Amino acid sequence: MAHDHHHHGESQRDYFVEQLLTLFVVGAFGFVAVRMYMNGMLQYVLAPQFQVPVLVGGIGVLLLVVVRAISVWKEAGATHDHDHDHGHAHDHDEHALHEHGPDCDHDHDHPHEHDHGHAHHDHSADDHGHSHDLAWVFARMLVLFFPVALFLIGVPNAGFSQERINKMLGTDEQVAADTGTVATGEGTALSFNDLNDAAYDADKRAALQGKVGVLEGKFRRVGEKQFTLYRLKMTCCAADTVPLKVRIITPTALSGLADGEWVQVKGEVRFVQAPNSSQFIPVVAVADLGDIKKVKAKNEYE
Amino acid sequence: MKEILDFILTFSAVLWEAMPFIVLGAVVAGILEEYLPQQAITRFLPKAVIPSVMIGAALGLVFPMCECGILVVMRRLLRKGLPLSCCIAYMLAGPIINPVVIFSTAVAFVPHGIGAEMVGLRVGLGFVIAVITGLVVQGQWVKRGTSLLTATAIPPELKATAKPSLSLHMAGGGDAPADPPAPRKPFFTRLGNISATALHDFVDITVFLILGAVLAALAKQYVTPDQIEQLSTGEPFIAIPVMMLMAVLMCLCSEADAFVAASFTKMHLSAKLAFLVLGPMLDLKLLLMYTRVFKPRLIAVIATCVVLQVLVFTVAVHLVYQLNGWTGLPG
Repeated sequence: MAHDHHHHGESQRDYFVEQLLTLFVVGAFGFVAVRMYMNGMLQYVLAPQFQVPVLVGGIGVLLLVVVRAISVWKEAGATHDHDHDHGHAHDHDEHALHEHGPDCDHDHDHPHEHDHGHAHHDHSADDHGHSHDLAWVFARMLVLFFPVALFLIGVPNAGFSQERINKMLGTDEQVAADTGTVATGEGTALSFNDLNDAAYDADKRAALQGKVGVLEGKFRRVGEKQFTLYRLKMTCCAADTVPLKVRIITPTALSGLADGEWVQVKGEVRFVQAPNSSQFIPVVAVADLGDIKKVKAKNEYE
Repeated sequence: MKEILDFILTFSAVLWEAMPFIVLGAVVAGILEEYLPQQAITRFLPKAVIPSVMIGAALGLVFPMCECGILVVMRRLLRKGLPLSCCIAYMLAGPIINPVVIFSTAVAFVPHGIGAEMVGLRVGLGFVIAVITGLVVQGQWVKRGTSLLTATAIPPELKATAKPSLSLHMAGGGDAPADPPAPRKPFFTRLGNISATALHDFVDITVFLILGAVLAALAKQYVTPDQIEQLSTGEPFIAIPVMMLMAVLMCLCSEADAFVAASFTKMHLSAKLAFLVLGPMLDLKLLLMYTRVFKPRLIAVIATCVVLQVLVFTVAVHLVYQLNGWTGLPG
């Protein structure tokens, strides 16, 4: 394939427009990743162990952009010099984009006496595994800018709406449970995770059954003397959020609490079979309504 | 307005969870493009198709990557001469058969008493499905050659041939001439080349990840895991395809999807297995990302192979459990 050392204005312009646009948008994307980590936005989006990788990824992207920007700068400089110097052999800086070596996909019908610090646009753009078709560049950049735009308008800045959480919670049937004699005492802090895990493990159920514990979560009424206490669990990201539920049963009818309010409950841990199922569900039986208190809102994710 | 904010939250979750792995994959792809000579890998592969595809399926143990990053790496390996069948096997099995995912699967299911079974079945089915799909793709390659791939994925030496079909790309690729040694390049030149390739691959794949995340977020606006679980509780022959659909819609990373599957406590093991095997191989975001490497025909072949095999094998697992009186439920 003929090797043209002269750059026709249009293709050279397109190439540098694409490079600059890519650097700007990808740089913005990397910056957003870092900023989302630093200002805490990621807490709504990802579980804690997945937040640091976003920071690292953002820094990685920014480093790539910086390296590439330097390469493009040198390329532009070499192109400028080349435009002014013709007819003599000259050395250029390294070929940043289109290296002429064994990995180069296009043939050259003349010997190379020197490296060229300029881009080649007179060959198929696909030869290096990518395309410089400007027609698609703007569309791709627009799509890539979408998350940047979301950050600029300040979203996401909260967890799921209560309506969405209610959808996740589904419908709860009342369990046939009578408080009976309820153990009392100081109570240790309980976790929704542990109680839900124990529901599927006979040994864990035996270990927790009858213990007095304290649990804090959000209220959702099921019946006059039963309500669900719940928190949310995010395994890796908000997309996989599931509610962790514990049923609370009271000796008398309970009033004065609205769905979604934060509540602290002290009572005896039990496990009862769910209606029409062989599975167990965790239950906390309350001895007295005074053991149920409103508390300040906390992080809804456990 | 609340629905829009919920949509944005779900979209952001899918995007930012995958983003670090795409960056990693892009950097690895840039390094491969710069340092790996053409056809270097094929010299070490067996000539026979089946062993080489099996090696491709096990590559995830050596090059662990999740499904987003693996696509970027796989495209570069393809361009560097790794046979398409091996690439497909690596792409499908790599996100399952790697130390991180095996460990996370064990951690998620051991408390439920089915840890060993889930790990063994997930790895085993992932391997078998990847190998079989790789062999089917090899058959397509023999018939159709480079028309299966997008222009950006075709290895350069195959573009040069007048008839891009078999030529250099039989499994093993053994007769391809090795490249002459490259002249030494300054370090910054190499760095520049790596960054150029990495940035391009990052943009190319992330754009389709964003589009896939939009689709996934839209789907989740209308379907919740609880609805799925209620729909299929106690009905294994509905549960399996429903969980497969859930895997496609949820677009979870294979490094954490085991915990999500474990939370479907009322589901039989076979349905959860379908979720865990299909998800890393095929979901909405991957489907869109595949369009950057494969033509629609090949995507359809891969998708059909994977879906059918997951369905058949997980139903078979369920029947085995039924015949032996095993519950397949946590407890």
